[in-house]
Amino acid sequence: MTTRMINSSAFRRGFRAMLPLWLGAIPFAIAYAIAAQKAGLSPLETQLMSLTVSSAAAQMGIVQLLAVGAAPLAIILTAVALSLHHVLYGLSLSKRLKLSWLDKATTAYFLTDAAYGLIIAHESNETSAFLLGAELSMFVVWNLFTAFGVLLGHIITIPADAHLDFVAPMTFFVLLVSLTKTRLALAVAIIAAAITWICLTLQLGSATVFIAGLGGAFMGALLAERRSLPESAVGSTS
Amino acid sequence: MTLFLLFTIATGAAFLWRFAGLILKIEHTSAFWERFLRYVPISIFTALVVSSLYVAPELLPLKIVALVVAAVVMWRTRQFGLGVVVGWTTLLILNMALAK
Repeated sequence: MTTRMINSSAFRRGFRAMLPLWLGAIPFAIAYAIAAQKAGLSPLETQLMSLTVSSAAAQMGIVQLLAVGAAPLAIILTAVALSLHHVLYGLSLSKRLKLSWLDKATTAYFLTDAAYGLIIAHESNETSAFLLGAELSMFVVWNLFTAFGVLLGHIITIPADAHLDFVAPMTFFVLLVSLTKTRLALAVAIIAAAITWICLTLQLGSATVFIAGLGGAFMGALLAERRSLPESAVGSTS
Repeated sequence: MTLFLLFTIATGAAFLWRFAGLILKIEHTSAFWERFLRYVPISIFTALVVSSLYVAPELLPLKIVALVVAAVVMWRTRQFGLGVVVGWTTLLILNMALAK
């Protein structure tokens, strides 16, 4: 089998592996498109943001701030802070995958929370082609359903009690459960949860995920070093 | 400020954070650093989930039940999508039942 065939196969597997996670993305993409237009963005601007920013949290954060007429600097800082935890994704992936400069650039452009979670959960399939397949799968559905929301948003009514905003976190939760395979991993999750709650209580806002990610991983490394508990299973599930 | 400039900054920020992590070379990585990176996914996904629980605190008990159901279904079936669908449906049913 040639390298090209292997890459093509891995790409398709990555694309397909993302399909179940579309469930979280589809309603959120439609909700984003509707919210963006209510905030005054044109259809073109709404779609352009999905094509360029390609981050559900950042896009929704920007739209919500635009809707309330927030100061430009506040919007910029929020957008920057909401993406901050992606630097940790990059560091984590650079240890797991061998990526050329071109791979790094494409990975950086298309990387999302879901694509990162998926490749971590499918460790046996970890190749740059698998990751790119997963990333493009999410990019395609995110943009398709943004367009759907733009075109049909005016006739779609999303009931407030549908809780579509909770579908994406639920997706992250099932990924989290698949990663939490040891007592130490569970302890790290509890610590990260506590840090998150404290940050939110202190109203640290958009940087919360980055701070909790940093703090939880740091404490996990510290506990693993002190207790010398088995940890090989962390982040390796089929 | 034009929206175009805002999009450019938001796109640039998202890209640069990811790219910075990917190109950053840390020489002589220690065992501590290796362990740190291993726990990054768990910490960040926990933070993403807990952040969503903080919104609408009156729904916290229902959301927790829905998450537990989603986790059990995923754990038993190994199907991410099924876990999400069943968890979300649980949330809707509980919400409707309690609203009556």
